[in-house]
Amino acid sequence: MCLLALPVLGQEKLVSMSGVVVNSATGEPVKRALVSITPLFRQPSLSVRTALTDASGVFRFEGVSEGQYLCQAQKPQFVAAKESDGRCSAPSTDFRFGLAPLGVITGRIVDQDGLPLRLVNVYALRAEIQDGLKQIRTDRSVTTDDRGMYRLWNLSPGKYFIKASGFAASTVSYIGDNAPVTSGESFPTTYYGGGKVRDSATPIEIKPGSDAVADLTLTVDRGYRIQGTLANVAPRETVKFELVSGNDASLIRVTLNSETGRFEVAAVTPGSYTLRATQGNSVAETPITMPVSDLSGVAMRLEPPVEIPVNVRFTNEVKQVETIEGPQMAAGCVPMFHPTEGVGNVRVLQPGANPAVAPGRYRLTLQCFNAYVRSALYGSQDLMANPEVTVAPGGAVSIDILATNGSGTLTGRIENAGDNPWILLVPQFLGDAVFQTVEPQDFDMVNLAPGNYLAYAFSSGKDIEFRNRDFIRTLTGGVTVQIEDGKESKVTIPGVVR
Amino acid sequence: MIAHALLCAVLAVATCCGADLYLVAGTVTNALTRSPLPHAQVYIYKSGTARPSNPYITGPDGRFSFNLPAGSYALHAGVRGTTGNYGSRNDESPVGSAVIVGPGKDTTNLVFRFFPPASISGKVLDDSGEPVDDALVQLIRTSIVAGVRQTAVFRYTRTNDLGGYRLGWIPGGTGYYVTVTGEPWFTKRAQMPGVTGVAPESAQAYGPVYYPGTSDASQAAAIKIGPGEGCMPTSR
Repeated sequence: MCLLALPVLGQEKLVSMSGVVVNSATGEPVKRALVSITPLFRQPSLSVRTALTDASGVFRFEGVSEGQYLCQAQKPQFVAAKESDGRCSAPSTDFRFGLAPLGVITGRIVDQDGLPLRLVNVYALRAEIQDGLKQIRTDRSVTTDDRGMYRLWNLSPGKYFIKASGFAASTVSYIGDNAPVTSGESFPTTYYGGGKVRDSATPIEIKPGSDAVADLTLTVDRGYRIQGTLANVAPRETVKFELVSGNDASLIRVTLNSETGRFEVAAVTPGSYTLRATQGNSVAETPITMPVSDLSGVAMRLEPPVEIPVNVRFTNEVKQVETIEGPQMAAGCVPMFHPTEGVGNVRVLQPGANPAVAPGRYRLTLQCFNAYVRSALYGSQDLMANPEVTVAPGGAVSIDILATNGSGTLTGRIENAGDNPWILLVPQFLGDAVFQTVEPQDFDMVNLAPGNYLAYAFSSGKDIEFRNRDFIRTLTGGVTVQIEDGKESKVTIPGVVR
Repeated sequence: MIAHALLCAVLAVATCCGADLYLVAGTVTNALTRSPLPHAQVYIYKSGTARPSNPYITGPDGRFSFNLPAGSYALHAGVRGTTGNYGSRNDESPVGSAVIVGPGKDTTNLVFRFFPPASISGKVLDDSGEPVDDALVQLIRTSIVAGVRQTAVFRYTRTNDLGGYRLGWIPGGTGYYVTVTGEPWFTKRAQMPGVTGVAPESAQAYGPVYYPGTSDASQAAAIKIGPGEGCMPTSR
């Protein structure tokens, strides 16, 4: 390709810039991709320019200022391939963008007689590591059409579970005496592979451009109604009902009279469940044993978030420090509630803030500064041994932390690790592991509880379940480190374990 | 035929103590093939009430049965989310017939003719032949409501990544117009502060375009579709 120098305007030299966008999986050109260039430094114009690629995947910008740019290419059903840092310069004629195609899962859902099932909720669940723990989250959800067909697209590479759970559902509010008609059939939650629980499901591996098929056969049966009342309903605010079985929560068809709180669940197959209603931060839960008939008289009550007192005591004297606002405590610990099911925000019980947490199940971590935890109790539960807690509606359970003011630091270096390795420090006593990034190879870790640790280096922070004790038990080749109160320890780690 | 049902004492506890019960039974059939319809849900409404009975779900023989006190009832049946009225002659004339239950009324062998729904599916492509995703596809039909002819959007959906759409479970026996509106994806992505020099073709939105490919509503062609039929138009 040719370089064309355009007339100079003042001090600015205008040139052209061109290149090609290709499918990184096949090498084929991508037509009609949108390419944008953003000036990085000192260009007189800070505007972004865009162009579409032609049928050969080629793009061209004319009259561009000489210099460095941030260059991006995009197209639906593609993501940028990680081949470059996105920097490009003008003039140039050979910039090459890679776009990685996203994946697709399609399938057909039929009943035990082979008849297509319409309006079935289909979920693509994906396992990902968040804050050192594996979380299963819903990546996408769709409903089947009249042929029982579904299509999930724009799926990033990874492992997916396909779940069929209930018919398209929501809570319908009504006023008056008669709930609207709802369907009388139901089926148990079923995963691709035929299992009723996620542990027995068959995962689907999606690679760039994958087009996978996941058909399911569901056992549809007569469902029965649950009738009851929900107390404490705030008028005109959304209420979400779910039927929980094991670690699966399914949305269900419910009609709710928001004046009286009377509700009716449409079609539930016999079995044992927890019926959960959520409105804002208020939650109601009740166990249900569904008979082979309608069930009535179920009484539920929305309970507001639970206040959890946090008591922190120290084994030694904690010195005050002077700040602009006056003398303040030089050490402290705050509990963090990580929801263990569904998608939710981490709730941090800051000192002085409203210590209320919505009822539910959480994993508790303790974040301390200038201190380390000696023991921690949630009621009578030892959090150092078992950090999984259930916040029950209306409960008044406190968190009691015994801490010691003081900490040690660790400095060191990771060798033979490449760019941006990560370090994991695993205490050889009850406590949380510490995981942090290293740039480029030297690190500095503070606020460490005194004691013995094993240090491991990783080439990347991706997929490291550092809060999963089973995962930590699989690690070998750790370097022993001793941390002492008020001292700086040093270590050199010879290489990464993975 | 009167069924002096021994079940009366059990069935009639709440609503009909002391009343005779009569058998209301029959078969739900596919109106096109006349074959029995399994998995059909049959509801009974007593005249003047809005709350139906618990549904009876038919087996492979399409049979249903209720034991009811004398009176006038509306009978509804459907398959998984769609319903029709007993006695309606087609999907366009949904008005049904009441079932009169009582002495001397034979309600034991009703035939409920269910008209299977139809579907319209297709693909939306742009002028370069590329699929248009997230385009709004609307189905418009003219119908008589309370004696007045009305033309309105009956159903809508959005296209998928292949530009595909499907409007299923719609009543057959009538004509529909399909209209598509949308916006090129690169127009949406380029609408951010400071963006200039967007390719000229991205400065406009699509449509509305009426099937079979005109922006003039008077030139739109109705898609005539019968019960149980499918149609697959493509729009550009």
